[in-house]
Amino acid sequence: MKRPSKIKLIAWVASILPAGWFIINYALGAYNPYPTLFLTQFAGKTAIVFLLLSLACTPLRNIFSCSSLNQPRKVFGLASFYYALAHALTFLVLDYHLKWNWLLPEFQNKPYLLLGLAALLLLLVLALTSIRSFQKRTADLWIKIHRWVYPTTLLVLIHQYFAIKGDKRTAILYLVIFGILMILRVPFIKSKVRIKREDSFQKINRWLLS
Amino acid sequence: MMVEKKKPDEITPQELYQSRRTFLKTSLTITSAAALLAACKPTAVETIPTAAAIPSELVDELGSSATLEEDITGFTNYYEFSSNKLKPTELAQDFITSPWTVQIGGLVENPQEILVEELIARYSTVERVYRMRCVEGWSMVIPWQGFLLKDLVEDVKPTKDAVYVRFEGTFDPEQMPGQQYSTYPWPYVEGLRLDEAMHDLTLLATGIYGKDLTPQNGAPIRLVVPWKYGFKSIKAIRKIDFVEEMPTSLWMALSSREYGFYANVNPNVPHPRWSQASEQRIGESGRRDTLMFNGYEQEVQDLYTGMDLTVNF
Ligand code: HEM
Repeated sequence: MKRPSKIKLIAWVASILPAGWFIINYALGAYNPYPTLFLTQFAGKTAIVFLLLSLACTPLRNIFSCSSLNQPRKVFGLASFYYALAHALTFLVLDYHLKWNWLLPEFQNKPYLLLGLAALLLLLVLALTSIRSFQKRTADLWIKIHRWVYPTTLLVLIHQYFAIKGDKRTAILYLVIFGILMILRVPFIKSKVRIKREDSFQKINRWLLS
Repeated sequence: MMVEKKKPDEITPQELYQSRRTFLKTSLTITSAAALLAACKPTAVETIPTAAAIPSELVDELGSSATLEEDITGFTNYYEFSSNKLKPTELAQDFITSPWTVQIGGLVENPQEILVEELIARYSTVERVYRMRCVEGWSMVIPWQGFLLKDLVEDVKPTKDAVYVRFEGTFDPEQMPGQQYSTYPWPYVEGLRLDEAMHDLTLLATGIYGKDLTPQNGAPIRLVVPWKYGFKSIKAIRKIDFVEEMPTSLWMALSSREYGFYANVNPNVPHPRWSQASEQRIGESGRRDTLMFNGYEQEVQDLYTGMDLTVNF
């Protein structure tokens, strides 16, 4: 197997760090007496951060003209899916012990849970269609499917907005970041925000790709 | 000395159930402490427990054990300090709770400004093991000490125009970092209908597990209304006013669709965010069913006859 590039290694380590952080703190008892609550919130927030990081790759590559910056897209996207899965499973299994007589009414009377479920299923499709052999077999179907990431992100952000109690500032901040990342993809704007090619950037770029 | 009749839900001070072996020693201490208290606070009523009255374990009347003291003092909702439930324990450590005056006024014959210590001395101490159900879907069983709000109400004599009681928490952004942001309309405000305030279950609490309230639990004095969601039980009270109009609580002001004035625990009225049908009892694995009026239906349902509880949530 080919040795992965530096940028991919960095992305992998970055994806594992939050889980490590949580496990260490959990072992130290930092989330007692109700670790389930903290895990739900921590995994949910981490999933959103990685989703936005994944969406930030292409605009950043354009701005800095560094092809390496586009590479962590997939790693961050998968990380987002795994954290989102941990988030949902915490809620369904650790919190509710899969008791459907309690869970079904919750999904019926809380639209934000249905949004979360829809988003998770979409992320699952994106994760499955990111498998190389699927992509090879289906020509560019996977590219079309992967455009779903934008509506999926929007669903997640709405889910988060309604899940948060009281102070909605972080949810609004994420929505603004998402908006900026979308605007940066508009062709007219894309060409305007590019900064001058710098040799130093290109040196870093080569190192990251190596 | 008057001896108050003990109800089954009343408890003995912490020292007495900790260990049977130390019982003799501690009971002597308690007796002398009680004698001391009786000497300096002539109106305080102290019960000296007998061996037969000592429960082997602290339980509520439904048989649930009290939540661990470290969990009650370590996991709190206190937005004046932080929205993270583990942080108030540390952030509130140096919160100054003495001297502390409480202002009682509004539509009453005897308005007063009084030190908490004097209030405590003035009324019979009661000890109650109550369930506490948070609107966020978790719960605890807490052994409180305090006095009946009713006793205070009878003392200050509300006029016939008084329909509601309005409580105001302290406003002290220097000591309470959460109050430095205007995200919430500080100070904390809560309210009860006068008949709810007069109910036998309604306490002004000053202690937990036989000790003074910790700052994070609402020291030096807080409300406890066990059949309502926890946010009704306002902490660190500074003002109690008797009013004609229904007070607007802090949470109502923030989102009246989510938080009603009554906020009675009701598994049949869903909240847009958390389950009200089931709850996580802190210290247990798995959830349990939430009970109508938090299990105090017998005691309080008469307060709400004829009311549509889905409208008046
Ligand atoms: C079946 C799918 C899902 C379920 C059942 C679910 C459930 C929940 C619940 C119950 C909460 C409230 C937690 C609390 O504060 O008590 C929540 C919040 C949240 N969820 Fe989900 N969720 C799902 C999918 C997702 C997905 C796919 C993402 C992100 C990719 C996500 C991100 C979040 C975030 C960021 C929060 C807010 C956490 C906070 O800041 O406190 N959720 N979710």
